[in-house]
Amino acid sequence: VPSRLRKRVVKKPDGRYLIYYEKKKKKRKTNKA
Amino acid sequence: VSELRWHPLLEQWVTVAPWRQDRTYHPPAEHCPLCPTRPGMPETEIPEPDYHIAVFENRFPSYTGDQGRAEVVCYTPVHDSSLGEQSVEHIRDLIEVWRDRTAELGRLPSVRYVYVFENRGEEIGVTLSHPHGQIYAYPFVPPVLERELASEAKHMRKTGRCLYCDIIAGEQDGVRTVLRDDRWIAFVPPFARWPYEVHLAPTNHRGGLADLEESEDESFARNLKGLLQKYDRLFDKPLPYVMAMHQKPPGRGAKHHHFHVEFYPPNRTKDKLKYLAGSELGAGAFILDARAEDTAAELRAIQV
Repeated sequence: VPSRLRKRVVKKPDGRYLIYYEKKKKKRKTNKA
Repeated sequence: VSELRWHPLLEQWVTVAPWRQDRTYHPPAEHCPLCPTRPGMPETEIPEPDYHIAVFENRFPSYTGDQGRAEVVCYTPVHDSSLGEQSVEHIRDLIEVWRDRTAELGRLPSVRYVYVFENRGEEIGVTLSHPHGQIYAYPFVPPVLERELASEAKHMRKTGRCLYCDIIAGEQDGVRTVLRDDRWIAFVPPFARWPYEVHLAPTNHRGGLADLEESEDESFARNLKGLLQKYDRLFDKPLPYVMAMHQKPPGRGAKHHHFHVEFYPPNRTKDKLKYLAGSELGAGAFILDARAEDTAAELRAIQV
């Protein structure tokens, strides 16, 4: 299954991890000159 | 780390984690540790002002370090919400999170089983009302799963077929079906131990979240939402439940296991709960005062 999310891992001050799962930003189509 | 003590009579591990006595207990909503951190307010478990889905190591873990992991999965930043209230799209994202955590935790050297679950409602013993689930990465295969895997292996040896595929085949007449489409089925199993127990399973043989195809993810999300909406309309109040995902253990084995999700709401009526008492706890024999066919019909009739 293609991934829909972006994963960002941060360390908390006490050493535990916290993972943010965020929506992937849709790529904008650019018009080529 | 926790102490694992062997129960020689039942041949199972008991995990002793005394620090869990001090875990956060029913804090007021403004001090919810699972909400994003609001400007000017004390920092919660999630320091940012917003999030989509967040996972962190439990501050009061049953398993940690070399032993395993205990994680908290925050479904949404919205405090007064629930899993069933999320959009199908959002639940699909959650499925990806559950899949990612299952894979990552399953790679830890000491981990023998990754268990995704949710306890919902005070009646179940939930101490934080913010919509969240948990994941335990155990250093052993927990007894219910061990027994289930053994039964499936025995059936496979005997018949050459998957036990759970046969159970689903037995639901063709639809009398115990709550919801279904061509990829997933929700039904009250004939052997249910709780009045409104429901199993939600892929109709094709799949071992776990990692084996699902994209269309099966979509169907899983839609049927999960549908079931939880039916549950909340059953008695016109948020229905407490335990949601238990039974995936195959990490590694290449256990091909005979069929992934499914079990739900155990404790209610037998709107105001009465089923308690595990003498027969259930002391003898392991469940006595049920409801027929699966009747509770399935009740749940099936609820429009969502």
